[in-house]
Amino acid sequence: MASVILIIFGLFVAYYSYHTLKLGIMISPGAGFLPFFVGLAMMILGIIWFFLTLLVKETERSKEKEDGSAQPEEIEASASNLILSRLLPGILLIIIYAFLFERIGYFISTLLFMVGWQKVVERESWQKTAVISLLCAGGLVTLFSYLLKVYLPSGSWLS
Amino acid sequence: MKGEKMKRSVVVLMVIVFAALILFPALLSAADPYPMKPVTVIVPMAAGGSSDLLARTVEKFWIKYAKQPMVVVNKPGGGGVVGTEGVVRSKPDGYTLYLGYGSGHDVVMPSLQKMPYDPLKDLIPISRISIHSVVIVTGANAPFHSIKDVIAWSRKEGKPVTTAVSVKAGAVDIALTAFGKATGIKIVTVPFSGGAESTSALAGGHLMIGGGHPSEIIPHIKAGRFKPLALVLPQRDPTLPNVPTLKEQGIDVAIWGSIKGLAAPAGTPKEIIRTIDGIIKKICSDPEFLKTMANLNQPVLYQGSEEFGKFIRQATDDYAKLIKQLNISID
Amino acid sequence: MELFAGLLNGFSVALTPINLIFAFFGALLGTAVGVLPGLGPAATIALLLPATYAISSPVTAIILMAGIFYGSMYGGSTTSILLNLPGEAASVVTCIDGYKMAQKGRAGAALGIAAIGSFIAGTAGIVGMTLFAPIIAKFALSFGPPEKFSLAVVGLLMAVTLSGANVVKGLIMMALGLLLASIGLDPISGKTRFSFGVIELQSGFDFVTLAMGIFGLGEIFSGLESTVKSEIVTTKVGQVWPTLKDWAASRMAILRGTLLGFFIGVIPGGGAVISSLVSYAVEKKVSKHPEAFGQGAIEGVAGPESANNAASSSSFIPLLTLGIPGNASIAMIFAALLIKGVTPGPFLIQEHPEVFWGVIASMYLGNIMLLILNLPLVGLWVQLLRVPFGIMAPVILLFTAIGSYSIQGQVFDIYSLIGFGLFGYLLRKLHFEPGPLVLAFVLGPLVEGAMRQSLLMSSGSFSIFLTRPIFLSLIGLFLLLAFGQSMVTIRKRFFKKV
Repeated sequence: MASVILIIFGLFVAYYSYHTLKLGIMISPGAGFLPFFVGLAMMILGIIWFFLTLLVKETERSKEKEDGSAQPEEIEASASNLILSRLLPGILLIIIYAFLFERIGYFISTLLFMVGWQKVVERESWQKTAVISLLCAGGLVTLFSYLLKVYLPSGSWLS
Repeated sequence: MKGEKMKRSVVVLMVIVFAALILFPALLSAADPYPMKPVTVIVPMAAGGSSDLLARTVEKFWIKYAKQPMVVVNKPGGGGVVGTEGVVRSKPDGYTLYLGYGSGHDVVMPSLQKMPYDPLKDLIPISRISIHSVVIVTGANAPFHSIKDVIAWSRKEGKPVTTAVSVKAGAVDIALTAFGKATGIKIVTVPFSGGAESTSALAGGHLMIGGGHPSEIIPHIKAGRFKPLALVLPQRDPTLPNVPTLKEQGIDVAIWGSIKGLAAPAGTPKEIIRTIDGIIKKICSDPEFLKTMANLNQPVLYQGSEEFGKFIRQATDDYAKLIKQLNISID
Repeated sequence: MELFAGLLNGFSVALTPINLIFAFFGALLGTAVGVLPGLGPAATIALLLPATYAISSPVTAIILMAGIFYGSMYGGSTTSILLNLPGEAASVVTCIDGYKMAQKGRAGAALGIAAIGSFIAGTAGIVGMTLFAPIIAKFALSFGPPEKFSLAVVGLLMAVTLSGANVVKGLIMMALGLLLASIGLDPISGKTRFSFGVIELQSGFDFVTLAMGIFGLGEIFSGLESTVKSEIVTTKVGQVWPTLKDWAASRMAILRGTLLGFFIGVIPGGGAVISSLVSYAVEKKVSKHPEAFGQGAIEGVAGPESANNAASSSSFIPLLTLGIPGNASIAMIFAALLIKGVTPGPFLIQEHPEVFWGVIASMYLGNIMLLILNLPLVGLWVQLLRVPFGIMAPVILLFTAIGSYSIQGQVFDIYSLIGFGLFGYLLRKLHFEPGPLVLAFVLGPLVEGAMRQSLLMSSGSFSIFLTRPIFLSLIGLFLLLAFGQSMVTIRKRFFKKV
């Protein structure tokens, strides 16, 4: 399935390079030269991949008919649970972090992120959460802000 | 009765305290002179290049005349557009400035392609510090001894002359393209990612001629690797007194070179502009600064805010005229 | 010989207390900078530049800055091995086998051999500098666009060897990498590509953000969805030091890496990355058990690490002998010298011999200091792996987020980081190796730029590539490596049949 996406993507890239960026002439390949060929390559590779996957699936299917294995479905179910309870919240948390970073300042965002992570992803107690979050946030802030003097925003919503 | 009075006076007191708290910081900031914190100066070019060297030299002397230090930050990319745009979009409070105002991407590029900002309207000129002229050189082992040799060779062989330039559509690029158009010979400009790269390519003998700024070129001339052929400015450059201009050699091409000045985003208060201008003026009169600049082969050509603004406008117009006249395009 | 006189003079300069202190401080800071993502040696040197004006002696200033530069090469491998987080382009290759070794409990051995290899290579590089500087400099100059093109192409081809079993997938990765690299402004034509109006994309994606996202965050995201892990390393930590067996295996890798790194590193713009790549590919080709590569082969760490350290030593050569800076960090040192009134170039030896030799001598000392600093730290770093995943994961996320923000001060970079992280997670699910993508991202612009410059130079004729000796010899070398192995295999099979 992903290979189909790749083929379409490659087509899009090739078209854009040809049309907008121009391929240029031999003496001076234009901006679109390399991307065009890359797009073509992606299309071709996507097609090859597609057929390879088909081939593999065929051999798998014939093997299954022989063994009669049917377990994979169970494993997938428990994995998707974990995805929902750990992966998605984790991703959401870091996106929210990025969103809040410049708005409420680096220290508070960092603190909130750690708290959120410990509670939602790791299901830790409030005491442990507090200790870990404060230590980590404090440590990171000291490192970046004081020791390295990196510019970190203090929060536009606050000032 | 007394209770009521007490309450009243407390409220009045609180109002006074609040008012003071709100007004006081405002009073503070009006009274406190600029600069109150370090000033960030963005150089939209690669580190080690002529603009970067200029910025760092100014950085060194800034602290002598200002209460807070200057911090130079390189933001190369897009031939200078990326870093400059960062300044254009920053807060106009005088703490983010742009050094290199007047370079190719400010005065040349607008006439060649669409820009995400207007260098004349979106930036306020503060002071001019230097002008980096463009000098055409060739390798020591090349068969050319003067610019006329180059022209003659090209006409005879019918082959194009390959030229190293620092960035596409920069001052150097335009200078050499204009030279080609004016003399009718075929010039192929090969752009690199900055002065250092183009200079080393030329030093390796991979191109026939090249253009560059004196501060990049002169060390190589002294080392015997380059031969200067011509200067592309209306008058001779004090750092290269023996190099004749194109005009002197009969070719009617002259450009303003790459102007280097300080600028602030539009909207920066006038008093702050004046303060910074004053600091720069003092730096440009400092004998140590002049000495360091001389070592770097960069002339000190100070101009105040108003004059500089006029100069930039003039340069932009002249470049536009040149581009139109010689039919130079980016494609 | 005047060489030794100069060197002795240099040591007398380098061994003064103040220069020793600055060398140590530079090395220490450099190591720290190398470990931290986002902040590179160039930015650190830039920050310290104003402070160096106060230092009266130019030698002391360069000793400090040089220390930061090669110190960061030591530090960069640490996060690559422990956390699959490459600090800079030259450390990406180390992630591949280094992290696998850490997962198998052999982090100590990996870190140790990286430090030792770096020391040997760095020192050897300096020796090479001492003896051959002018010749090497000429060699560097002779690398024009066609030669750079051939070198970058060889690098790309080598990157295919990183694709593991499935070459098709590896090629897809490279194609994507090339595409990602095209986003942003094209220096040759001046046009912006694939930015679709987004301002932040005008300068394209930053390498560190991309690599940290795909390698580091991708790893964390997949860690989150598998069974609840208690630690990053699930097996016992085991031996903290490299064993004699490790040493025997790595010896030749270090030697080869040093040579490769030294020569490739002189070439301005791309030296360290390409040398680490080539070293990895060479080691894989000459190894008696190439299947081990990608699973934790120590040669895959020893070779590239040596290569990138040798490259960092030799990148000083063009600066000191010709006055041409090869990369951003060296350019900063260049600027500092100029402002102090010292002009790096062919006259440096004559005008300021104490600067030239003083710096070289200090580099010897610096490398020794770094070895002494890093080896004991290995034990400490390995303990880091014991920290529970529940704390490490969010801290790494924060760490890399702040690190990528600090590059340009844009929140967009944090979003890009997350995006690349999700992409890396996807790649893992689909069983793609990220190595070729990242390397194509770095080498793509080099290949494209050099090719177009060469064609401009030759007026469109491809013959320019064929008439250049270096180009031909590089391609020849590659073909030898690539097919030499298969020739041997074919021969064996043939003889077996008979």
